[in-house]
Amino acid sequence: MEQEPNEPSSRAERRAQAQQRSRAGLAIGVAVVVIIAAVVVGVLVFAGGGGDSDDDDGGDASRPVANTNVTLELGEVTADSAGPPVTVGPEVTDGVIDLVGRYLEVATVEPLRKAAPAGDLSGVFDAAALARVNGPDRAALVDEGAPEVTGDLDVVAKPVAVTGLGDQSGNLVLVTATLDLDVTGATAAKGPPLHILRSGYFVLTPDPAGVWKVSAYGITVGREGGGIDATTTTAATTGAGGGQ
Amino acid sequence: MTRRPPRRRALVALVIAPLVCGLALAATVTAAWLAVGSPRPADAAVWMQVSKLAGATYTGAPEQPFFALVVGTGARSDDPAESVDDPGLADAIHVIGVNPALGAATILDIPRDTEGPGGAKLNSYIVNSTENFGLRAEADAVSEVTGLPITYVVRANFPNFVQMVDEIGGIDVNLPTELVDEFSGANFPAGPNHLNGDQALALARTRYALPRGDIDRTLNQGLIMLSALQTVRARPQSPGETVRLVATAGRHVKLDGLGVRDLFALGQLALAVDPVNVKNVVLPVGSGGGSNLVKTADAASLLADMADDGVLQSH
Repeated sequence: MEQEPNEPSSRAERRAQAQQRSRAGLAIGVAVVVIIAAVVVGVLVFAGGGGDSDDDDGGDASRPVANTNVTLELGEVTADSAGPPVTVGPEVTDGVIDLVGRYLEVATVEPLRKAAPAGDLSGVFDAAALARVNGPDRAALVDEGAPEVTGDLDVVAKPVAVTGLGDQSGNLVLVTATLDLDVTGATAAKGPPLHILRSGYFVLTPDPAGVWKVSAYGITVGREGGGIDATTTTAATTGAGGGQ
Repeated sequence: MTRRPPRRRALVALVIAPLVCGLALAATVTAAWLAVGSPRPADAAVWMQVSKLAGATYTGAPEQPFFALVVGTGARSDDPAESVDDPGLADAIHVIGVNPALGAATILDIPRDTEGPGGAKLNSYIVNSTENFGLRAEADAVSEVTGLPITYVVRANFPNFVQMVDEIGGIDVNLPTELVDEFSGANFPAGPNHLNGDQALALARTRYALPRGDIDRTLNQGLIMLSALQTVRARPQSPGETVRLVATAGRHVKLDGLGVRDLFALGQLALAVDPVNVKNVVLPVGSGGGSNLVKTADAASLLADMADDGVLQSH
């Protein structure tokens, strides 16, 4: 009787063929697992879940939301006059608080949140004062150059005391506003959070268009924590004036 | 019995206002006045006149120094018609240089007999012109003698002097030596003295008991201005307090060429100057023609030192 060509000729041959089929199956299984694993990893990477990105805009629900809290309110309001009595009405005090609020936003909140230069302060300071704010007094008036605040930012102002001065005809010609700020913000740096204390006053006068702006100031600021060394800067603009 | 010199009226006129004249003293008066609980004066007496001279080159920039002339007269009023018994000679003359950026000042005390342009005594130019009640002419003469550009002129008259000092509750003056003068009535030990209005007037008048007469008297007047500044600075300060001081002063000041806003800025400046950073010096003078005094050779360098930035560094 003639034997088929692929027919194992003996028990040993049949055993060897069985082992060959077993090794091929194992190789296919391993390859499938590796491919699946690669696909999974790829999906995770492209989905952004497995990267090491600094981008905080991914909506990671596990990270707490950073809040910015600004506390600002009107304090005591008084007035005195070189002539007939004057009063400081709500139209003026509201404007003072609004102006101080804009100052805090532009000079403190935005630079700390964005770690970027402050924006335009021409709506807060008159031309002469602005020249100094943009020049020699900038370090005392603007919180640029500090580390970015990535956590909560708290700006707490003591109630702003406003005092008006009337001229010899009884016209309100200027008001003073106290400024006493305590700023705290968490940064990525190790150690205590960024802490800024700013105190002093603004002198506000109406410009030719009748818009009240800061025309003089006396400010002292101290900064520490958040990865910076303690600093203190003082600035004051007090000329003898040219207007009346 | 001792008779007083015939020039009593002139002596009285001398006393006057440099003491009360300075911007700092104005602030002192009002501050102390408020402190003793009198928010408004009994009447609207005019304590002084403050003029900003037209054409002054000062712009008000914080870095820019400026000069103020302080004169004291015996006139009862800026209006000659209301002061017929005294022509109102500038018998007390001081130039105050202020450097806002440095927070420093210099008081230059000028003897009244110093020779001015054309040979007249420097105290006389104020009565030779009606512009700015004579203050322009006086300022121009002082500028020509000193080389210092005057922006502001402060003039105080005699009648309210005693009242002003009493209203503030007196002035604390630290005298370097004992001072006794029967003509002026001064009788003060060396050291701290609390002076009422009459006593302050006596100190300001005292000349005969002083080694250099009128030269030392003008120096004492500068000392009183410094003492006034120290008194003000010793009180609690805040923007609101400055407003109240200026408002009170504004009710007693005749303003010419400037307004209450400027007065506020000047008040801020005065309060920002530490008396430690204020020098009080007399213009170096010697004998000239007749009773005139003329600047000595030392005056040139002193005035140049003061002219460059408002204050003395090397003198």
